[in-house]
Amino acid sequence: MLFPTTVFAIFFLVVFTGGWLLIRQRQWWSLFMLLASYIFYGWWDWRFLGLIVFCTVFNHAAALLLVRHPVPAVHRVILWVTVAINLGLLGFFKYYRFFVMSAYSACGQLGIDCSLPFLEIVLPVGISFFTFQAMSYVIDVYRKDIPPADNVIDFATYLAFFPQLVAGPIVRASDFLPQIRRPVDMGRVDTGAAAVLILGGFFKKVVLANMLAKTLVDPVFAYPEDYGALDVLLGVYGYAAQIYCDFSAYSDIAIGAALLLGIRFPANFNAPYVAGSFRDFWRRWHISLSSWLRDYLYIPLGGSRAGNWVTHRNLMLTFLLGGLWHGANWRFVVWGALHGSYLVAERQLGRWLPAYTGSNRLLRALLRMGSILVVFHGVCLSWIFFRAETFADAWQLIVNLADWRPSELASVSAVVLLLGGLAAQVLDGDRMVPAARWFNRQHVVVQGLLAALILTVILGLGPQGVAPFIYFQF
Amino acid sequence: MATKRAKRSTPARRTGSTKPADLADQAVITGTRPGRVCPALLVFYGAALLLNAEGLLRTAGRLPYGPMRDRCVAMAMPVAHFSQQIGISRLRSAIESLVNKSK
Repeated sequence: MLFPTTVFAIFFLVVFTGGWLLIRQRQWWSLFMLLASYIFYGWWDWRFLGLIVFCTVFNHAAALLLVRHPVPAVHRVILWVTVAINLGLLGFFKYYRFFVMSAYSACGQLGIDCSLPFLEIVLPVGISFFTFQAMSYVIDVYRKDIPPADNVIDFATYLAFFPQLVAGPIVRASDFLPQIRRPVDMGRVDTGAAAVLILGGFFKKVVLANMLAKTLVDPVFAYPEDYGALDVLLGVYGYAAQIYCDFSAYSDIAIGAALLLGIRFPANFNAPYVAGSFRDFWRRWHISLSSWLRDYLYIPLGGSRAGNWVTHRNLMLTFLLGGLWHGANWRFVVWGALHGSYLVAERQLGRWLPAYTGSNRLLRALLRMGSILVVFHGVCLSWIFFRAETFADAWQLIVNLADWRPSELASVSAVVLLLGGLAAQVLDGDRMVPAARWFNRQHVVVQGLLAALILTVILGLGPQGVAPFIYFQF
Repeated sequence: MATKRAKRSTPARRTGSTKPADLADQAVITGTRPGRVCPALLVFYGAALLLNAEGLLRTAGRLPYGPMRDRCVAMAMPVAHFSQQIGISRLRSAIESLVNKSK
Protein backbone atom coordinates (compact mmCIF):
# COMPACT_ATOMS: atom_id res chain seq x y z
CA MET A 1 0.00 0.00 0.00
CA LEU A 2 1.69 3.20 -1.16
CA PHE A 3 1.00 6.54 0.50
CA PRO A 4 -0.14 8.54 -2.56
CA THR A 5 -2.85 6.06 -3.62
CA THR A 6 -6.64 5.85 -3.31
CA VAL A 7 -6.42 2.61 -1.32
CA PHE A 8 -4.26 4.29 1.31
CA ALA A 9 -6.59 7.31 1.40
CA ILE A 10 -9.58 5.07 2.23
CA PHE A 11 -7.52 3.01 4.70
CA PHE A 12 -6.33 6.15 6.49
CA LEU A 13 -9.83 7.61 6.84
CA VAL A 14 -11.01 4.41 8.55
CA VAL A 15 -7.95 4.24 10.82
CA PHE A 16 -8.14 7.93 11.70
CA THR A 17 -11.83 7.72 12.67
CA GLY A 18 -11.38 4.48 14.61
CA GLY A 19 -8.24 5.77 16.30
CA TRP A 20 -9.90 8.92 17.63
CA LEU A 21 -13.00 7.03 18.75
CA LEU A 22 -10.74 4.78 20.85
CA ILE A 23 -8.31 7.45 21.97
CA ARG A 24 -9.40 7.38 25.63
CA GLN A 25 -9.12 3.58 25.87
CA ARG A 26 -5.40 3.23 25.34
CA GLN A 27 -5.32 -0.58 25.27
CA TRP A 28 -8.05 -0.73 22.63
CA TRP A 29 -6.33 2.05 20.71
CA SER A 30 -3.09 0.04 20.71
CA LEU A 31 -4.87 -3.10 19.57
CA PHE A 32 -6.73 -1.22 16.83
CA MET A 33 -3.54 0.42 15.56
CA LEU A 34 -1.77 -2.93 15.63
CA LEU A 35 -4.49 -4.56 13.52
CA ALA A 36 -4.47 -1.63 11.10
CA SER A 37 -0.68 -1.81 10.85
CA TYR A 38 -0.78 -5.55 10.15
CA ILE A 39 -3.40 -4.99 7.43
CA PHE A 40 -1.15 -2.27 5.95
CA TYR A 41 1.86 -4.59 5.99
CA GLY A 42 -0.08 -7.69 4.90
CA TRP A 43 -1.47 -5.77 1.92
CA TRP A 44 1.97 -6.14 0.35
CA ASP A 45 2.51 -9.82 1.29
CA TRP A 46 0.61 -11.37 4.19
CA ARG A 47 3.12 -14.24 4.49
CA PHE A 48 5.71 -11.92 6.02
CA LEU A 49 3.39 -10.99 8.88
CA GLY A 50 4.75 -14.12 10.60
CA LEU A 51 8.21 -12.55 10.49
CA ILE A 52 7.15 -9.33 12.16
CA VAL A 53 5.09 -11.25 14.77
CA PHE A 54 8.10 -13.46 15.56
CA CYS A 55 10.35 -10.41 15.81
CA THR A 56 7.85 -8.79 18.20
CA VAL A 57 7.33 -11.75 20.52
CA PHE A 58 10.99 -12.70 20.60
CA ASN A 59 12.31 -9.19 21.35
CA HIS A 60 9.65 -8.45 23.96
CA ALA A 61 10.39 -11.76 25.71
CA ALA A 62 14.10 -10.89 25.68
CA ALA A 63 13.37 -7.45 27.20
CA LEU A 64 11.23 -9.00 29.96
CA LEU A 65 13.93 -11.57 30.66
CA LEU A 66 16.47 -8.77 30.94
CA VAL A 67 14.54 -7.04 33.72
CA ARG A 68 13.40 -10.19 35.50
CA HIS A 69 16.52 -12.32 35.52
CA PRO A 70 18.39 -11.80 38.80
CA VAL A 71 21.91 -12.59 37.50
CA PRO A 72 23.52 -9.58 35.75
CA ALA A 73 26.04 -11.80 33.91
CA VAL A 74 23.14 -13.51 32.14
CA HIS A 75 21.89 -10.12 30.88
CA ARG A 76 24.89 -9.77 28.61
CA VAL A 77 24.26 -13.23 27.16
CA ILE A 78 20.59 -12.41 26.55
CA LEU A 79 21.56 -9.18 24.83
CA TRP A 80 24.11 -10.80 22.53
CA VAL A 81 21.77 -13.67 21.65
CA THR A 82 18.96 -11.21 20.87
CA VAL A 83 21.18 -8.96 18.74
CA ALA A 84 22.59 -12.03 16.96
CA ILE A 85 19.12 -13.39 16.14
CA ASN A 86 17.91 -9.99 14.89
CA LEU A 87 21.01 -9.60 12.72
CA GLY A 88 20.63 -13.23 11.64
CA LEU A 89 17.09 -12.52 10.40
CA LEU A 90 18.27 -9.42 8.58
CA GLY A 91 21.29 -11.28 7.22
CA PHE A 92 19.26 -14.19 5.93
CA PHE A 93 16.54 -12.20 4.20
CA LYS A 94 18.65 -9.31 2.99
CA TYR A 95 22.21 -10.50 2.59
CA TYR A 96 22.11 -14.27 1.97
CA ARG A 97 22.25 -13.96 -1.81
CA PHE A 98 24.90 -11.22 -1.57
CA PHE A 99 27.20 -13.30 0.66
CA VAL A 100 26.74 -16.44 -1.43
CA MET A 101 27.50 -14.56 -4.65
CA SER A 102 30.51 -12.83 -3.05
CA ALA A 103 31.81 -16.19 -1.75
CA TYR A 104 31.37 -17.75 -5.21
CA SER A 105 33.21 -14.88 -6.82
CA ALA A 106 36.06 -15.03 -4.26
CA CYS A 107 36.36 -18.83 -4.63
CA GLY A 108 36.38 -18.48 -8.42
CA GLN A 109 39.22 -15.95 -8.27
CA LEU A 110 41.22 -18.21 -5.97
CA GLY A 111 40.58 -21.18 -8.24
CA ILE A 112 38.66 -23.06 -5.55
CA ASP A 113 35.58 -25.04 -6.54
CA CYS A 114 32.89 -24.34 -3.91
CA SER A 115 29.22 -25.22 -4.00
CA LEU A 116 26.95 -23.22 -1.72
CA PRO A 117 23.16 -23.61 -1.54
CA PHE A 118 21.56 -20.88 -3.65
CA LEU A 119 18.10 -19.69 -2.55
CA GLU A 120 15.80 -17.13 -4.14
CA ILE A 121 14.75 -15.08 -1.13
CA VAL A 122 12.19 -12.28 -1.32
CA LEU A 123 13.24 -9.23 0.72
CA PRO A 124 10.47 -8.39 3.20
CA VAL A 125 9.61 -4.70 2.95
CA GLY A 126 10.80 -2.67 5.94
CA ILE A 127 12.88 -5.45 7.54
CA SER A 128 15.89 -3.13 7.93
CA PHE A 129 13.74 -0.65 9.80
CA PHE A 130 11.82 -2.90 12.18
CA THR A 131 14.83 -5.06 13.12
CA PHE A 132 16.80 -1.92 13.97
CA GLN A 133 13.90 -0.64 16.07
CA ALA A 134 13.66 -3.98 17.85
CA MET A 135 17.40 -4.03 18.58
CA SER A 136 17.40 -0.48 19.91
CA TYR A 137 14.52 -1.41 22.25
CA VAL A 138 16.33 -4.42 23.73
CA ILE A 139 19.63 -2.52 24.02
CA ASP A 140 17.88 0.41 25.76
CA VAL A 141 16.20 -1.99 28.21
CA TYR A 142 19.59 -3.67 28.82
CA ARG A 143 21.18 -0.27 29.49
CA LYS A 144 18.24 0.55 31.83
CA ASP A 145 17.49 3.64 29.76
CA ILE A 146 13.86 2.60 29.37
CA PRO A 147 11.58 0.07 31.08
CA PRO A 148 10.10 -2.67 28.87
CA ALA A 149 6.72 -2.04 27.25
CA ASP A 150 3.74 -2.61 29.55
CA ASN A 151 2.53 -5.47 27.40
CA VAL A 152 3.27 -7.21 24.14
CA ILE A 153 0.48 -5.32 22.30
CA ASP A 154 2.11 -1.95 23.08
CA PHE A 155 5.47 -3.22 21.88
CA ALA A 156 3.91 -4.79 18.77
CA THR A 157 2.21 -1.45 18.00
CA TYR A 158 5.54 0.35 18.38
CA LEU A 159 7.30 -2.07 16.05
CA ALA A 160 4.58 -2.23 13.39
CA PHE A 161 3.04 1.28 13.57
CA PHE A 162 2.14 1.69 9.90
CA PRO A 163 3.23 5.27 9.12
CA GLN A 164 6.89 4.37 9.70
CA LEU A 165 6.84 0.60 9.21
CA VAL A 166 8.24 0.23 5.71
CA ALA A 167 10.66 3.13 5.29
CA GLY A 168 11.19 4.82 8.65
CA PRO A 169 11.98 7.11 10.34
CA ILE A 170 13.59 4.64 12.78
CA VAL A 171 11.63 5.66 15.86
CA ARG A 172 13.08 4.85 19.30
CA ALA A 173 11.00 3.04 21.89
CA SER A 174 11.91 5.88 24.29
CA ASP A 175 10.13 8.30 21.93
CA PHE A 176 7.13 6.11 21.09
CA LEU A 177 6.14 4.02 24.14
CA PRO A 178 5.63 6.94 26.57
CA GLN A 179 3.20 8.45 24.06
CA ILE A 180 0.92 5.42 24.09
CA ARG A 181 1.21 5.01 27.86
CA ARG A 182 -0.08 8.47 28.73
CA PRO A 183 -3.50 9.82 27.74
CA VAL A 184 -3.45 11.94 24.60
CA ASP A 185 -4.06 15.66 24.93
CA MET A 186 -7.56 15.93 23.55
CA GLY A 187 -7.30 19.71 23.27
CA ARG A 188 -5.78 20.07 19.80
CA VAL A 189 -4.74 18.12 16.74
CA ASP A 190 -2.01 19.69 14.67
CA THR A 191 -3.93 19.69 11.41
CA GLY A 192 -1.82 22.58 10.11
CA ALA A 193 1.48 20.85 10.76
CA ALA A 194 0.10 17.54 9.48
CA ALA A 195 -1.28 19.17 6.32
CA VAL A 196 1.98 20.98 5.59
CA LEU A 197 3.98 17.79 6.14
CA ILE A 198 1.66 15.50 4.14
CA LEU A 199 0.95 17.86 1.24
CA GLY A 200 4.57 19.01 1.17
CA GLY A 201 5.59 15.35 1.10
CA PHE A 202 3.17 14.60 -1.74
CA PHE A 203 4.54 17.55 -3.70
CA LYS A 204 8.13 16.43 -3.20
CA LYS A 205 7.34 12.83 -4.16
CA VAL A 206 4.66 13.09 -6.86
CA VAL A 207 5.90 16.21 -8.63
CA LEU A 208 9.59 16.77 -7.93
CA ALA A 209 11.05 13.29 -7.32
CA ASN A 210 9.04 11.58 -10.06
CA MET A 211 9.72 14.29 -12.64
CA LEU A 212 13.42 14.47 -11.79
CA ALA A 213 13.63 10.70 -12.21
CA LYS A 214 11.81 10.74 -15.52
CA THR A 215 13.50 13.72 -17.16
CA LEU A 216 17.06 13.72 -15.83
CA VAL A 217 18.09 10.79 -13.65
CA ASP A 218 16.76 7.62 -15.31
CA PRO A 219 18.06 8.38 -18.82
CA VAL A 220 21.58 9.26 -17.61
CA PHE A 221 21.92 6.26 -15.29
CA ALA A 222 20.35 3.84 -17.80
CA TYR A 223 22.73 4.73 -20.67
CA PRO A 224 25.77 6.42 -19.07
CA GLU A 225 27.92 6.05 -22.20
CA ASP A 226 25.48 8.17 -24.22
CA TYR A 227 25.87 11.35 -22.19
CA GLY A 228 28.60 13.95 -21.86
CA ALA A 229 29.81 15.94 -18.87
CA LEU A 230 26.94 18.44 -18.71
CA ASP A 231 24.27 15.74 -18.88
CA VAL A 232 26.08 13.57 -16.33
CA LEU A 233 26.25 16.56 -14.00
CA LEU A 234 22.54 17.21 -14.51
CA GLY A 235 21.78 13.52 -13.89
CA VAL A 236 23.88 13.32 -10.74
CA TYR A 237 22.64 16.64 -9.32
CA GLY A 238 19.16 15.46 -10.31
CA TYR A 239 19.61 12.24 -8.36
CA ALA A 240 20.83 14.18 -5.32
CA ALA A 241 17.62 16.21 -5.48
CA GLN A 242 15.45 13.18 -6.33
CA ILE A 243 16.61 10.97 -3.46
CA TYR A 244 16.23 13.87 -1.04
CA CYS A 245 12.71 14.67 -2.29
CA ASP A 246 11.69 11.01 -2.37
CA PHE A 247 12.97 9.93 1.02
CA SER A 248 12.20 13.12 2.93
CA ALA A 249 8.71 12.99 1.36
CA TYR A 250 8.10 9.55 2.85
CA SER A 251 9.39 10.72 6.23
CA ASP A 252 7.24 13.86 6.13
CA ILE A 253 4.10 11.94 5.17
CA ALA A 254 4.84 9.39 7.91
CA ILE A 255 5.37 12.15 10.51
CA GLY A 256 2.22 13.98 9.34
CA ALA A 257 0.05 10.84 9.33
CA ALA A 258 1.30 9.85 12.79
CA LEU A 259 0.60 13.38 14.01
CA LEU A 260 -3.04 13.09 12.89
CA LEU A 261 -3.23 9.85 14.91
CA GLY A 262 -1.87 11.62 18.00
CA ILE A 263 1.74 10.35 17.82
CA ARG A 264 4.83 12.54 17.37
CA PHE A 265 7.84 11.27 15.47
CA PRO A 266 11.29 12.85 15.48
CA ALA A 267 12.35 14.83 12.40
CA ASN A 268 14.36 12.85 9.87
CA PHE A 269 15.74 15.62 7.61
CA ASN A 270 16.88 19.16 8.07
CA ALA A 271 18.02 20.77 4.80
CA PRO A 272 20.96 18.38 4.31
CA TYR A 273 22.43 20.06 1.22
CA VAL A 274 23.18 23.28 3.06
CA ALA A 275 25.52 21.41 5.40
CA GLY A 276 28.90 23.11 5.72
CA SER A 277 30.72 19.91 6.72
CA PHE A 278 30.24 16.19 6.28
CA ARG A 279 29.65 15.89 10.01
CA ASP A 280 26.93 18.50 9.69
CA PHE A 281 25.51 16.62 6.69
CA TRP A 282 24.98 13.50 8.82
CA ARG A 283 23.19 15.60 11.43
CA ARG A 284 20.73 16.65 8.73
CA TRP A 285 20.35 13.56 6.49
CA HIS A 286 18.35 10.50 7.65
CA ILE A 287 18.78 11.71 11.22
CA SER A 288 17.08 8.65 12.73
CA LEU A 289 19.57 6.26 11.07
CA SER A 290 22.67 8.36 11.73
CA SER A 291 21.74 8.78 15.40
CA TRP A 292 20.99 5.02 15.60
CA LEU A 293 24.41 4.17 14.17
CA ARG A 294 26.04 6.68 16.51
CA ASP A 295 24.36 5.35 19.66
CA TYR A 296 24.38 1.62 18.97
CA LEU A 297 27.52 1.18 16.89
CA TYR A 298 29.95 4.12 16.89
CA ILE A 299 29.84 4.89 20.63
CA PRO A 300 29.93 1.21 21.75
CA LEU A 301 32.97 0.75 19.48
CA GLY A 302 34.68 3.46 21.50
CA GLY A 303 33.58 6.56 19.60
CA SER A 304 36.20 9.27 19.66
CA ARG A 305 37.41 8.49 23.17
CA ALA A 306 40.41 6.30 22.39
CA GLY A 307 42.75 8.31 20.21
CA ASN A 308 42.91 9.35 16.62
CA TRP A 309 43.50 6.01 14.92
CA VAL A 310 40.72 4.23 16.81
CA THR A 311 38.32 7.10 16.08
CA HIS A 312 39.09 6.84 12.35
CA ARG A 313 38.64 3.07 12.46
CA ASN A 314 35.30 3.49 14.26
CA LEU A 315 34.11 6.06 11.73
CA MET A 316 35.05 3.82 8.80
CA LEU A 317 33.42 0.74 10.37
CA THR A 318 30.23 2.66 11.20
CA PHE A 319 29.89 3.98 7.66
CA LEU A 320 30.85 0.71 5.96
CA LEU A 321 28.12 -1.05 7.93
CA GLY A 322 25.78 1.91 7.38
CA GLY A 323 26.38 1.51 3.65
CA LEU A 324 25.72 -2.20 3.80
CA TRP A 325 22.50 -1.51 5.72
CA HIS A 326 21.17 0.25 2.62
CA GLY A 327 21.48 -2.78 0.41
CA ALA A 328 23.22 -6.04 -0.28
CA ASN A 329 25.64 -4.71 -2.87
CA TRP A 330 29.29 -3.64 -2.88
CA ARG A 331 28.20 -0.31 -4.40
CA PHE A 332 26.56 0.59 -1.09
CA VAL A 333 29.72 -0.43 0.75
CA VAL A 334 31.70 1.94 -1.49
CA TRP A 335 29.12 4.65 -0.79
CA GLY A 336 29.61 4.08 2.96
CA ALA A 337 33.41 3.96 2.55
CA LEU A 338 33.36 7.31 0.75
CA HIS A 339 31.36 8.93 3.55
CA GLY A 340 33.61 7.34 6.19
CA SER A 341 36.67 8.64 4.33
CA TYR A 342 35.15 12.12 4.06
CA LEU A 343 34.61 12.23 7.80
CA VAL A 344 38.10 10.94 8.55
CA ALA A 345 39.64 13.46 6.12
CA GLU A 346 37.54 16.29 7.53
CA ARG A 347 38.55 15.40 11.08
CA GLN A 348 42.20 15.29 10.11
CA LEU A 349 42.02 18.55 8.15
CA GLY A 350 40.29 20.19 11.09
CA ARG A 351 43.34 19.39 13.21
CA TRP A 352 45.75 20.89 10.69
CA LEU A 353 43.78 23.89 9.43
CA PRO A 354 42.32 26.20 12.06
CA ALA A 355 38.79 27.52 11.39
CA TYR A 356 38.54 31.15 10.25
CA THR A 357 37.66 33.32 13.24
CA GLY A 358 38.15 36.75 11.68
CA SER A 359 35.46 39.41 11.42
CA ASN A 360 35.37 39.80 7.62
CA ARG A 361 31.74 38.93 6.76
CA LEU A 362 32.36 38.57 3.04
CA LEU A 363 35.23 36.15 3.58
CA ARG A 364 33.16 34.23 6.13
CA ALA A 365 30.24 33.97 3.67
CA LEU A 366 32.57 32.87 0.85
CA LEU A 367 34.15 30.22 3.06
CA ARG A 368 30.72 28.99 4.11
CA MET A 369 29.54 28.86 0.48
CA GLY A 370 32.72 27.06 -0.53
CA SER A 371 32.34 24.45 2.18
CA ILE A 372 28.67 23.88 1.23
CA LEU A 373 29.73 23.32 -2.39
CA VAL A 374 32.54 20.94 -1.43
CA VAL A 375 30.25 18.88 0.81
CA PHE A 376 27.48 18.83 -1.81
CA HIS A 377 29.86 17.59 -4.52
CA GLY A 378 31.39 14.99 -2.21
CA VAL A 379 27.89 13.72 -1.47
CA CYS A 380 27.03 13.75 -5.19
CA LEU A 381 30.11 11.64 -5.96
CA SER A 382 28.93 9.07 -3.43
CA TRP A 383 25.41 9.12 -4.98
CA ILE A 384 26.90 7.93 -8.29
CA PHE A 385 27.82 4.60 -6.64
CA PHE A 386 24.53 4.53 -4.76
CA ARG A 387 22.41 4.88 -7.88
CA ALA A 388 24.41 3.28 -10.72
CA GLU A 389 23.41 -0.25 -11.71
CA THR A 390 26.99 -1.52 -11.77
CA PHE A 391 30.51 -0.37 -10.91
CA ALA A 392 31.21 -0.18 -14.64
CA ASP A 393 28.32 2.27 -15.06
CA ALA A 394 29.48 4.35 -12.10
CA TRP A 395 33.00 4.50 -13.52
CA GLN A 396 31.65 5.39 -16.98
CA LEU A 397 29.73 8.32 -15.46
CA ILE A 398 32.85 9.57 -13.69
CA VAL A 399 34.94 9.23 -16.87
CA ASN A 400 32.29 11.06 -18.90
CA LEU A 401 32.65 14.06 -16.62
CA ALA A 402 35.68 14.90 -18.73
CA ASP A 403 33.79 14.48 -22.00
CA TRP A 404 32.46 17.91 -22.99
CA ARG A 405 29.97 17.40 -25.78
CA PRO A 406 26.67 19.19 -26.50
CA SER A 407 24.01 18.49 -23.91
CA GLU A 408 20.86 16.51 -24.76
CA LEU A 409 19.04 17.08 -21.48
CA ALA A 410 19.80 20.69 -20.60
CA SER A 411 16.77 22.96 -20.87
CA VAL A 412 15.20 25.74 -18.87
CA SER A 413 12.55 23.36 -17.49
CA ALA A 414 15.23 20.81 -16.44
CA VAL A 415 17.18 23.49 -14.56
CA VAL A 416 14.00 24.85 -12.93
CA LEU A 417 13.06 21.32 -11.87
CA LEU A 418 16.52 20.69 -10.45
CA LEU A 419 16.56 23.96 -8.53
CA GLY A 420 13.02 23.23 -7.33
CA GLY A 421 14.12 19.85 -6.02
CA LEU A 422 16.99 21.42 -4.10
CA ALA A 423 14.85 24.34 -2.91
CA ALA A 424 12.35 21.86 -1.42
CA GLN A 425 14.67 21.80 1.59
CA VAL A 426 12.95 24.97 2.69
CA LEU A 427 10.08 22.73 3.88
CA ASP A 428 12.35 21.12 6.52
CA GLY A 429 12.66 22.10 10.16
CA ASP A 430 10.54 24.90 11.55
CA ARG A 431 10.55 27.06 8.41
CA MET A 432 6.91 26.24 7.62
CA VAL A 433 5.55 26.95 11.12
CA PRO A 434 3.84 30.22 10.05
CA ALA A 435 2.04 28.36 7.23
CA ALA A 436 0.96 25.60 9.63
CA ARG A 437 -0.33 28.13 12.14
CA TRP A 438 -2.19 30.04 9.45
CA PHE A 439 -3.80 26.77 8.28
CA ASN A 440 -4.83 25.93 11.86
CA ARG A 441 -6.62 29.27 12.20
CA GLN A 442 -8.91 28.56 9.24
CA HIS A 443 -12.40 27.09 9.52
CA VAL A 444 -12.50 23.30 9.16
CA VAL A 445 -14.38 23.53 5.84
CA VAL A 446 -11.76 25.93 4.48
CA GLN A 447 -9.03 23.59 5.73
CA GLY A 448 -10.59 20.59 3.94
CA LEU A 449 -11.22 22.51 0.69
CA LEU A 450 -7.77 24.07 0.64
CA ALA A 451 -6.05 20.72 1.21
CA ALA A 452 -8.14 19.13 -1.57
CA LEU A 453 -7.26 21.97 -3.96
CA ILE A 454 -3.54 21.69 -3.23
CA LEU A 455 -3.70 17.90 -3.68
CA THR A 456 -5.43 18.36 -7.04
CA VAL A 457 -2.71 20.73 -8.22
CA ILE A 458 -0.05 18.23 -7.10
CA LEU A 459 -1.74 15.29 -8.85
CA GLY A 460 -2.29 17.39 -11.97
CA LEU A 461 1.36 18.48 -12.14
CA GLY A 462 2.88 15.05 -11.40
CA PRO A 463 3.56 12.43 -14.05
CA GLN A 464 1.09 9.57 -14.57
CA GLY A 465 1.30 6.64 -12.12
CA VAL A 466 3.00 6.27 -8.75
CA ALA A 467 6.62 5.12 -8.61
CA PRO A 468 7.53 3.29 -5.38
CA PHE A 469 9.60 5.20 -2.83
CA ILE A 470 13.35 4.59 -3.25
CA TYR A 471 13.81 3.50 0.37
CA PHE A 472 11.21 0.72 0.04
CA GLN A 473 14.00 -1.48 -1.34
CA PHE A 474 16.07 -1.05 1.82
CA MET B 1 29.56 18.99 39.27
CA ALA B 2 26.66 16.92 40.60
CA THR B 3 24.26 18.76 38.32
CA LYS B 4 26.56 18.11 35.40
CA ARG B 5 26.69 14.39 36.18
CA ALA B 6 22.92 14.18 36.58
CA LYS B 7 22.44 15.97 33.27
CA ARG B 8 24.80 13.60 31.49
CA SER B 9 23.01 10.47 32.68
CA THR B 10 19.46 11.42 31.72
CA PRO B 11 17.81 8.69 29.62
CA ALA B 12 17.07 11.06 26.74
CA ARG B 13 20.73 11.93 26.49
CA ARG B 14 21.92 8.35 26.79
CA THR B 15 19.47 7.00 24.25
CA GLY B 16 20.44 9.90 21.99
CA SER B 17 16.79 10.42 21.23
CA THR B 18 16.54 12.89 18.36
CA LYS B 19 14.39 15.95 18.89
CA PRO B 20 10.77 15.80 17.77
CA ALA B 21 9.72 17.27 14.44
CA ASP B 22 10.12 21.02 14.88
CA LEU B 23 7.11 21.84 12.76
CA ALA B 24 4.90 19.41 14.65
CA ASP B 25 6.18 20.80 17.92
CA GLN B 26 5.46 24.43 17.32
CA ALA B 27 2.18 24.49 15.46
CA VAL B 28 0.32 22.69 18.27
CA ILE B 29 -0.42 26.01 19.97
CA THR B 30 -3.03 26.80 17.34
CA GLY B 31 -4.17 23.25 16.47
CA THR B 32 -7.71 22.09 15.69
CA ARG B 33 -10.01 20.25 18.13
CA PRO B 34 -10.19 16.49 17.39
CA GLY B 35 -13.97 16.62 17.01
CA ARG B 36 -13.54 19.13 14.18
CA VAL B 37 -10.80 17.26 12.38
CA CYS B 38 -13.19 14.53 11.23
CA PRO B 39 -15.48 17.02 9.40
CA ALA B 40 -12.38 18.69 7.91
CA LEU B 41 -11.17 15.30 6.68
CA LEU B 42 -14.60 14.49 5.24
CA VAL B 43 -14.69 17.82 3.40
CA PHE B 44 -11.16 17.12 2.15
CA TYR B 45 -12.04 13.62 0.94
CA GLY B 46 -15.28 14.76 -0.71
CA ALA B 47 -13.68 17.71 -2.48
CA ALA B 48 -10.61 15.69 -3.49
CA LEU B 49 -12.87 12.96 -4.88
CA LEU B 50 -14.85 15.39 -7.02
CA LEU B 51 -11.84 17.40 -8.17
CA ASN B 52 -9.93 14.27 -9.19
CA ALA B 53 -12.82 12.05 -10.31
CA GLU B 54 -11.64 11.88 -13.92
CA GLY B 55 -8.15 10.94 -12.80
CA LEU B 56 -9.61 8.22 -10.58
CA LEU B 57 -11.60 6.88 -13.51
CA ARG B 58 -8.46 6.82 -15.65
CA THR B 59 -6.55 4.99 -12.90
CA ALA B 60 -9.39 2.47 -12.54
CA GLY B 61 -9.40 1.97 -16.31
CA ARG B 62 -5.68 1.11 -16.23
CA LEU B 63 -6.16 -1.74 -13.74
CA PRO B 64 -5.72 -5.29 -15.11
CA TYR B 65 -8.90 -6.66 -16.69
CA GLY B 66 -11.05 -8.53 -14.18
CA PRO B 67 -13.82 -8.10 -11.60
CA MET B 68 -11.73 -5.66 -9.51
CA ARG B 69 -11.29 -3.34 -12.49
CA ASP B 70 -15.01 -3.58 -13.33
CA ARG B 71 -16.00 -2.68 -9.77
CA CYS B 72 -13.55 0.25 -9.59
CA VAL B 73 -14.72 1.61 -12.98
CA ALA B 74 -18.37 1.17 -11.95
CA MET B 75 -17.76 3.17 -8.77
CA ALA B 76 -15.63 5.90 -10.39
CA MET B 77 -17.86 6.38 -13.45
CA PRO B 78 -20.87 8.14 -11.82
CA VAL B 79 -18.60 10.37 -9.71
CA ALA B 80 -16.61 11.37 -12.81
CA HIS B 81 -19.86 12.02 -14.68
CA PHE B 82 -21.21 14.18 -11.85
CA SER B 83 -17.89 16.02 -11.60
CA GLN B 84 -18.01 16.75 -15.34
CA GLN B 85 -21.62 17.92 -15.15
CA ILE B 86 -20.93 20.48 -12.46
CA GLY B 87 -17.68 21.49 -14.16
CA ILE B 88 -15.45 20.88 -11.15
CA SER B 89 -13.21 18.51 -13.10
CA ARG B 90 -12.00 21.41 -15.27
CA LEU B 91 -9.42 22.49 -12.70
CA ARG B 92 -7.34 19.32 -12.96
CA SER B 93 -7.79 19.21 -16.73
CA ALA B 94 -6.51 22.78 -16.96
CA ILE B 95 -3.46 21.95 -14.85
CA GLU B 96 -2.75 18.84 -16.89
CA SER B 97 -2.99 20.69 -20.16
CA LEU B 98 -0.72 23.38 -18.71
CA VAL B 99 2.05 20.81 -18.24
CA ASN B 100 1.16 18.90 -21.43
CA LYS B 101 0.38 15.76 -19.49
CA SER B 102 -0.84 12.96 -21.74
CA LYS B 103 -3.97 11.17 -20.59
